[in-house]
Amino acid sequence: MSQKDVIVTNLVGELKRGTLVLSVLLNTKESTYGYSLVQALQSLGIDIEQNTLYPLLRRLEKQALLSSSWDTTESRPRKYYQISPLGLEVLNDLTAHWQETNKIINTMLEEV
Amino acid sequence: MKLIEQYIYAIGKYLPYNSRKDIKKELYASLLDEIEATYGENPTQKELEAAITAYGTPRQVANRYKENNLVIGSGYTDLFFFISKLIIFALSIAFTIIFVIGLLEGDLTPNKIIVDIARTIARIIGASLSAIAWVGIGFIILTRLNNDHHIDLEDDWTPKDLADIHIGPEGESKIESGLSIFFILVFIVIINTMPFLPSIAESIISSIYCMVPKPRKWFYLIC
Repeated sequence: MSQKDVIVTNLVGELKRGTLVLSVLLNTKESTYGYSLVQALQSLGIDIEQNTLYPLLRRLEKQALLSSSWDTTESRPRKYYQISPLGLEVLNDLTAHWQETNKIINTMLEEV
Repeated sequence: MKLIEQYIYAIGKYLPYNSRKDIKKELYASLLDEIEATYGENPTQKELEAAITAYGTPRQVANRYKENNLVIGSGYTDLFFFISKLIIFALSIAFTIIFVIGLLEGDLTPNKIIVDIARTIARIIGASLSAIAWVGIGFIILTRLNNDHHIDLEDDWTPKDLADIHIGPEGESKIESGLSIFFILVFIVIINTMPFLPSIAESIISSIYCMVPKPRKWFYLIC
């Protein structure tokens, strides 16, 4: 891998990390568990690994943006996450900022 | 799936105690979900090993769950390193001065000089480590008390504070504060190493006092 490729990979990684919270909040409107969320995000084209997602889910839960509950009715107990009322408010604000940033970047790209 | 249980147990050893049980339970279920989706319900030992390898070492996995547990807040780091360097510098100077005084007072045999040099180096290292450790403990306590790892020592700064700044050579104020700490440290070390110094100073002052003519009785009456 050339030096340019390494730089691009790192920068793309940074870009993706920045949008990860938005992606998770958008995909937890329905109650969902970790692995199912990984699959849902991957099917949408967001390449995220389990070991990155689970700590992120816990962090968002700690910040009260997600609520969680254990489902022990099935053979394997699973922890389900869902966006909280505070999470919805944050999501709305984040979405507005995302759209604004996107608009600015697009304007700059058109000028180039 | 003993291997998975052993893996989860190994991860648990590095996890924060409060959330360990919950994280382990979730990890176990999630890992089994992934293994089942990738290799089916009855994976071989090799497939299990491949899944675990892809997931990461126990320490790597646990570290992702840890928040930025900084021992010393990022706002204090520069100050801590600055004081640490100053301590080493000041103690080196102080012990070198003591070494030179010792040389001038004692015998100048080569053996004694070598022993004294070694002793001075050992003292510098020992005293520096001890002083830096105490300073470090102080900063750790400060960080814990603030409970905020992104400490900004200048969070109450306003542009009005610029009014007191007189433009001069760069680093002047840093050197000034650095020198004051340096001289305090040198003073403490010298007083500790040579406790007889204050009594010598006292006797010099009293002998000067004796040489000065004493005021007459009428002076006290006026006063």
